[in-house]
Amino acid sequence: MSAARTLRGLGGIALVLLAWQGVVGSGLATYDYLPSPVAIAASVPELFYDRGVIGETLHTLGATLAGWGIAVAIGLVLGALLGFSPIARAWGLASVELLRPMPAVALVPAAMLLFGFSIATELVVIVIPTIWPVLVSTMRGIMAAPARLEDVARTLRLGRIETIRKVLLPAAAPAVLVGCRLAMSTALVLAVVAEMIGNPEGIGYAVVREAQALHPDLMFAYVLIAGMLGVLLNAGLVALGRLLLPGAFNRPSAVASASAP
Amino acid sequence: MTRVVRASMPIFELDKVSLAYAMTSGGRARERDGRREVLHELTFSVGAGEILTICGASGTGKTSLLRILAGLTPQSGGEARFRGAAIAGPSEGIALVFQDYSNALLQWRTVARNVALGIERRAAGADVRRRVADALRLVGLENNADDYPWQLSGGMQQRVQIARALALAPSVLLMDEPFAALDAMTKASLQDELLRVRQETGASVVFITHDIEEAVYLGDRVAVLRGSPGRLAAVLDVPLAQPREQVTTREQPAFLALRHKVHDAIGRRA
Amino acid sequence: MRMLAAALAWSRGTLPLLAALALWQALGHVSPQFPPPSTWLAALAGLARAGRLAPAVAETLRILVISLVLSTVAGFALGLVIGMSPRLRQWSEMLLEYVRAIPQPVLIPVFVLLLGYSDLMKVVVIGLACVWPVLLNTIAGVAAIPPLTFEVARSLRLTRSDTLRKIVVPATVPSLLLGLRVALPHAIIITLVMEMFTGAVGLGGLMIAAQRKFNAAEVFGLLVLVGGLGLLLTGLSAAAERLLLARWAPRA
Repeated sequence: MSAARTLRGLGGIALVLLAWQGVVGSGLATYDYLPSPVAIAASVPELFYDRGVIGETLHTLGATLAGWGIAVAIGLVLGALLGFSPIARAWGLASVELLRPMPAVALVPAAMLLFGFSIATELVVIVIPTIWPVLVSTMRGIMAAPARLEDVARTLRLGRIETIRKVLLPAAAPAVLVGCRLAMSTALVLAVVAEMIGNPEGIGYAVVREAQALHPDLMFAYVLIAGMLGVLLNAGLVALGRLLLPGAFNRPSAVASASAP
Repeated sequence: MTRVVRASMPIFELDKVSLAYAMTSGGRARERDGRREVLHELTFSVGAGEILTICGASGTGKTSLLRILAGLTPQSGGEARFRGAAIAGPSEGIALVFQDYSNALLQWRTVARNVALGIERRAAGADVRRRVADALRLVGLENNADDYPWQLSGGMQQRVQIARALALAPSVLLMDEPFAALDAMTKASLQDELLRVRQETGASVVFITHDIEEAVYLGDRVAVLRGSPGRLAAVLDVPLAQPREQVTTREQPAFLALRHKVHDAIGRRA
Repeated sequence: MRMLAAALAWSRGTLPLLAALALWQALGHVSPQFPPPSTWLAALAGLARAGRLAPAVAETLRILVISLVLSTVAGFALGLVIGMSPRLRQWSEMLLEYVRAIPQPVLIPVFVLLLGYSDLMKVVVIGLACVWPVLLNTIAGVAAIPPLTFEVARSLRLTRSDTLRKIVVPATVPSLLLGLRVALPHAIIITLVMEMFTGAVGLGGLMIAAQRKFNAAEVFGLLVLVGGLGLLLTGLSAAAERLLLARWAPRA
């Protein structure tokens, strides 16, 4: 993004903050529980001294990353299996398609039954629904690799394993990456949900706690931190993608948007 | 053999018209005081009922010239007049046909409704229907009124665009390389259709092309742009008989001589 | 006939799922925490008989549909406005990206605090969560209109409102439909979370209530019900999108 565009983007944010501050700070409109940006900013030190914001952030971050990592591993394997094997698809695809549209949060009560208020609940809630975007985009990415590539591999007399390793997997990589990014935001949302309802730890629980204790400024501060987590995780993943697959983002991908739910 | 006798007032008059763009940070070379000149002091006119073809290599500013005539881009220097009045925006009586028919038509409207797009605001229902039907008949698409553009071939889609232009009952058609994206046979058939339309409606036509043969075949006069910024290298009369015919006209010595002249006027590329 | 064959072939793929369920049914008696599938149906039937199931489903659907419709309309309108102005687009880019990155469920306690427990709170929370796909897709859809199409409008001397009505809106309807399809699962999820969190009437409320009573059969039964509902809704929306898009179909 050019400098001018970035400045304008920041300008937009600044404008909104100023308007917010103006409306609430001047007393033009007072809601009991809507603090001004200044008040929120002033409460930030409290996060460090009175609350364990670092620990809470790390908890949410850790749970998200762990859940995401497990889900990606499972999703890649299953997605590759379904992608490469028409037999696997014939006997398994319908099951995937039936399970996939289930709203992820429906698992929370079930997980709570089994694991109570614990980190296990949180992980189960994160992992199971996060598998699907990875699985689907991996499968589609592999299936969408142009047939011509396989022909090329055959004329070069590459073995099956070599073909998969050197030709088909790299061709599917951009789609897989898109699936992983989608999975990351899914994982964060689920981590927060689990913390709000099933496991009283982390940022999700912190927001609930402050709301119930009637500390709106701290509550908003936590919300902003949650947003920053989201931005950071996504940016981190994009950077990682660029690192691992340097050419991937410039290539037109065959399945760029196939991983919509 | 006689030239088309022009009516009293020319449709278009250009007097030393120039066009220059201000440079943005992403601009290309050929700057002059931070401006990039596209057209340099063009002077010519277009008569009522005549077909003027404008020919030149890429980059000579042909499309920009058309946009000035269309009122889509204001010139930076000189005077441009349509029917005696200075051009200040898209004028009543001018209709445009673009090269990219796919994006120039509304793919979600039927052919009939596409043709109606320009007139539905300005005329009553029955009047609109009549004008649409007449326009479709003029281009031979009366049986496709309820089809969608994406169902039609490229040539047919271009005819829809022409019908849309004709429905406006314009005094002049401005056409920007309208047949460039079509195959040779469709092109030939549309060229003849254009000549016939001009015969039936009496409209003037300003026709841009980079195809020298097309320029000579269609035109009553051929204007040649050359160089960057584009300058008027020549305006040549085309004393070939009407009606023109694809094979016989193109074999005539006069045609070949003109073709040669236009080719020379365009200039050899470095 | 061909469709039947295709359907049968597809249903072969449900085998793993059915096998798992059958296994569960057979071994279910082992642990009270994993009641067999047959008990789930019984639990659901029990809820239905007690007159608690239908109102819950109705309430969840009611608030879901209202929020979805309102947020789609708002998202589309806002998307058109922002999309048509490059200036607005640049100024709002970063702000929208940031707000979108906030995990939506986090906003539930915020709005419960601000707006109390009310229909307005519910619509705002759900609407805010599911407006993004429609908004961002619409903005992208407007940006994707070829500049030539706007030139055509200018050369035909269409008024601004005509250009909006006859060209911009029809051209962005496919984006709207795509956004709506993506927004639906988000809307379902956030509706359930909201109900679970507030213990409200609705399927989410029922599920949390069942969990608190440690009624595993009810929990799993409701899980399946919610899954089926999700399946139904996504299937319906996909079909509706296909039907509506038939008109805007294969572009040249």
